Amino acid sequence: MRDLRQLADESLVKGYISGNSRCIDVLIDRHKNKIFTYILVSVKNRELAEDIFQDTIVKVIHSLKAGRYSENGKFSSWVMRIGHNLIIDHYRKEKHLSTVSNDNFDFDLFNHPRYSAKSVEDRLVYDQILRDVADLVTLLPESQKKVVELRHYKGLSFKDIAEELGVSINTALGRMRYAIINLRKIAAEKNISLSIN
Amino acid sequence: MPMNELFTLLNSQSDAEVEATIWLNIFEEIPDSAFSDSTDQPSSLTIYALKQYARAYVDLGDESVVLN
Repeated sequence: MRDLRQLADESLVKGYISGNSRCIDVLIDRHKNKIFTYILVSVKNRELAEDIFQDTIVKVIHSLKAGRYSENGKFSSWVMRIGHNLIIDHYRKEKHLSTVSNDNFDFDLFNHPRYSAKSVEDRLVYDQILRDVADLVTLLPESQKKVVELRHYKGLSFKDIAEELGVSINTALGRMRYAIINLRKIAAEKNISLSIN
Repeated sequence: MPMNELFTLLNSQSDAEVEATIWLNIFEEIPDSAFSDSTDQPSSLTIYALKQYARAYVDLGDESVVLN
């Protein structure tokens, strides 16, 4: 076990897939706090967080064994996105809305095909939405506008945004949260669709 | 990536989804090692059950394994 703890995530993943169950013990111990904390701050309920965490790890186990994990990034990020999709599932079920399929748990919300323009028409729609979003951003209060610009137009991390603006990460997060809520509200009021279908 | 992230946020179906996505972005920026001493962690019983499940699953390769 001591030797296994020296191994990188990728080696442990391969070890588990090859049949060494102790490898998954190390992976769970290594990442449980970060994954659980993310779920807990999102759902703000310990019992629910335990349930979602458990479902997340079960999906990780199934998907590792099914060969659905590829080394295209950090293992912990992949697990966090599985947890994220389960959180979204929970909120949508709670609202009796359509749900994200559990079977597609490795679906990447940030790489949805609808955001990848495939035709000239798609590209035109996408460009129009970009212009609409840029116009909406100008209507935000200055402090919120700055966070959106730094994050989404300049690609800065929240840590860098906090440093650049001289505020805490929590403040940057709060401003982003209000900015998104306001953008959604303004778009609804102005009847602007931000969906790419 | 950042613009796609913005579209995801804007197309969320609730404020709770917005918040969960923002948290995800933040957590992905924080090094894993920062959580090694975190007091927010799943119960030891949950961890024990998951490890047993993982063990049974890799040994049996059977989806009928039940998590107790």
